[in-house]
Amino acid sequence: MTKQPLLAVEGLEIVIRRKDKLTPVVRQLSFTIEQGEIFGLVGESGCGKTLTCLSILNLLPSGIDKAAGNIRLNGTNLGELSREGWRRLRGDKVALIAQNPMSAFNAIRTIGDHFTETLLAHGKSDTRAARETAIAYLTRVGLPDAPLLLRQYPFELSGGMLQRVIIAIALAQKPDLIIADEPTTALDATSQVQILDLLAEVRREFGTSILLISHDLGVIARLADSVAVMFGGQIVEQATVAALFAQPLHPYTQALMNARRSIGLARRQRLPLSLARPATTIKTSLVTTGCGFAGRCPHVNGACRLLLPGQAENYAGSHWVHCRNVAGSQREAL
Amino acid sequence: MLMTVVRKLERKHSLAVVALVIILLNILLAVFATAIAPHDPNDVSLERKLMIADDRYPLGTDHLGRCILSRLIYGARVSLSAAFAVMTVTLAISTVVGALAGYAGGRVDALIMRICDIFLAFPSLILALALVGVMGPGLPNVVLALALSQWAWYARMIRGMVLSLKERNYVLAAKVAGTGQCTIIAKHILPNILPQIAVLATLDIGWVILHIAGMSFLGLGIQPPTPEWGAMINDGRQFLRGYPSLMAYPGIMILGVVMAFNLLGDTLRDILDPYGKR
Amino acid sequence: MSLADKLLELRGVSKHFHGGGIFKQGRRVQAINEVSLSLRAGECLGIVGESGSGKSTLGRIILGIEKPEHGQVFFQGINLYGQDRAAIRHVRRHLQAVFQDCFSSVNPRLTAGQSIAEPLRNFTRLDYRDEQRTVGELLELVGLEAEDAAKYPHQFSGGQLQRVCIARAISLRPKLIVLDEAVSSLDVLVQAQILDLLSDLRQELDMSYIFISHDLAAVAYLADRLAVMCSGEIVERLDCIDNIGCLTHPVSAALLAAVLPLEPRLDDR
Repeated sequence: MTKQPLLAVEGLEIVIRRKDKLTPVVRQLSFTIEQGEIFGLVGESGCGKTLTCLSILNLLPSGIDKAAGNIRLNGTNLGELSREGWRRLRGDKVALIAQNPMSAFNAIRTIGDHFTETLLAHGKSDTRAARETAIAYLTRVGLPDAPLLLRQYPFELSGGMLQRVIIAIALAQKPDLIIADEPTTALDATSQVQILDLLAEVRREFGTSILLISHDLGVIARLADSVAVMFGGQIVEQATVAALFAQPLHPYTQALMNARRSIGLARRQRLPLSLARPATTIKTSLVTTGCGFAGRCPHVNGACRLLLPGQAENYAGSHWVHCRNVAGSQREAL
Repeated sequence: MLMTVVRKLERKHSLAVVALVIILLNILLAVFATAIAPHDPNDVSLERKLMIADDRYPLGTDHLGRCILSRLIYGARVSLSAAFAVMTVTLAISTVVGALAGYAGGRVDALIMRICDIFLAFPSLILALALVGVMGPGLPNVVLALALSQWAWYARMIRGMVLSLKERNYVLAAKVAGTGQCTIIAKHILPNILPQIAVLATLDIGWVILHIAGMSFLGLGIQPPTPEWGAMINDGRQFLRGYPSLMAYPGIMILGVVMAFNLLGDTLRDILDPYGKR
Repeated sequence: MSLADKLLELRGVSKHFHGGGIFKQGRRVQAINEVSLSLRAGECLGIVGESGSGKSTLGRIILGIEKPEHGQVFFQGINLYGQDRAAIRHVRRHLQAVFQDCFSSVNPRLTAGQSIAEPLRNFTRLDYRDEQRTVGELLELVGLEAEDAAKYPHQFSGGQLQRVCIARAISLRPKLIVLDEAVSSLDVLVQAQILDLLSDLRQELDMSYIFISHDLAAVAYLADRLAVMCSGEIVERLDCIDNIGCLTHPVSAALLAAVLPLEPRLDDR
């Protein structure tokens, strides 16, 4: 008997509403996250990944609306939640770890104030119990001298330590799902590895599912079980991590891999980049006809510009890709 | 850029449009006073004193037979030009001093700030009154006194803004590009604090107009017979029971103009603040 | 190697700050401690370290905009913090920089063209038309279009604006460019493009780089030599980047380990 997935997003559409003009930024987005799974969402800035997370939490900024689609958490349709229901959901069932740890804190309150206030808001009984819970979780995420930490202010801690504090606060609610939006992008390289390992440990120990957003395939490779590649508001390729890295099918995925590899340590094996032209607009392809990637694709042909990539082609073992050109030759190769 | 500001004003803040209209009207009155005013404001005639409004004198006459409407219109010229003069002098002094203190830092900064502290220690009205008392009454002295009582506050604000911009990357980049210090201040720092200063100055003009009126009311500012709203209120005091209009009309003018400037300043701040409500 | 051969030389440079929280007064924080290094013309030196290791401060000291307490900095033989103002100004045009956050590296009120032209205006006497032409050429050299000169910073994406900053840095054909985390805030695809651009420009314009970063992979892409910093000191040097696997210091090892490979980890799933 298959268990029901923890999070099921179906046909999500998000639009920007400006003066009666509706511009779609996320189109037909569908994916599921199982219990205890780490799901990676990869894409460049502006592809819509952050907006997707915000719509799961119903925190879309004004002017940006969810136009269509269903989001289910443990079977509950999130579209039907009341305000009270959302308040209970956020932090309790779904926790968010944002990109810039410093901005998540009030600079003039101590870490301890922040932690205990969050715990009390979510049902902890009194300050002393909250404080003990805080110390327990801060130690659990590997921060030394937790009692001292509670008395410190955010500016006294490094980015890596602050991010651990945020993870500790998130964990203390025992959420079912953690949404980590570029959790390591603002940190330096060594902190990055530590945070990713910490998240892996969190999944191992608590069975929490994680929605991991990043623009870096290296981060995904380190942590995720399955991955979806987003471009221009759509998922262009989706597979298990092993399958994706073994055989990236979509030209955009291939470009990401090449870029990453060429900045690898083995200089002599530098691969030429397949994308020579830099992006000329800020908004990555809000085109409504044809494939969003047509402007930058090395294999583009006439049909690509006119027709949508079509239904996702399903290859062996649930490796999906949205591309006309993959349909032909590569299917035989698989 | 000005057009986009005006367009944004229209769209979002209709009250601010009203404010802008009031201010523009007053400026027009001030500039074209000679053409608009029906009579000479200093034309004394005791026969015509304290008349109620009629066709020749739309707002009536005051206790010396002078046309109130004409005096109000010329009063706009005096009040507004004095207020702008005060703001100009204040901003000139405080920008130079504040930018110098913020950019130079160290001992120069400390010295300038101590001087500012001395000026800030006095309540501004007391300081202005004392200065006028020493220098004697009259419009130029009033302008100078008010400017001297205000510059320290602006210098401090400007110093703070310069401090926050001094370490920005584009200032560092300009240094690396070989740009001289004065050019950096003029080209990179000052233009980026100008909007905030404009907002503060707009909000303050109301204060200045009130103080000019207040000083005239006390007999320290503009000397008679020059028409000025505060002086007109003072003149009308003795007739409050019988002819309240002598005080009411100039009072309403002051109220209208001060409120208009405050509204405009608030709206400017909303528009220019990138993180404010949109 | 005599002084004359070295493009840049630092001798025993130290700087400290007064750090600490609101109530901890005057605690001395040693940002840079007795750092010495040198660079020959045409080389690219990578300086890597975690945040807080002092590498950005070192970058500013090298650029001549932050005076060290001890030690000297020589660029083309001139002491950058010495008394000879004329000589310092003369070499200033050959020492340029690209910073990390492109959006705060340009004056938001100036167009891209005006920002790029600023170094030109300081050191050359071009008339308006020549200046416009030069700016257009620079923009095309970095992969943008000449028409972009009229755009304002907020109209560019991160990668494009960083190209504008690079165009500004190369406008005077400098001998040395200090890249302070120049690609760290960019997406991985854009990072690769910018690094490629920097690599091409280095050859075309015969420049040297000092590349400061916490990302060893990005540094390794461009650098010939490496210096690893920790707590204000250089803890390890590498003279040939190809031997990067030979780094032994614990900090170097941590930085090496932090370069995420593209193979998925299958052990702990």
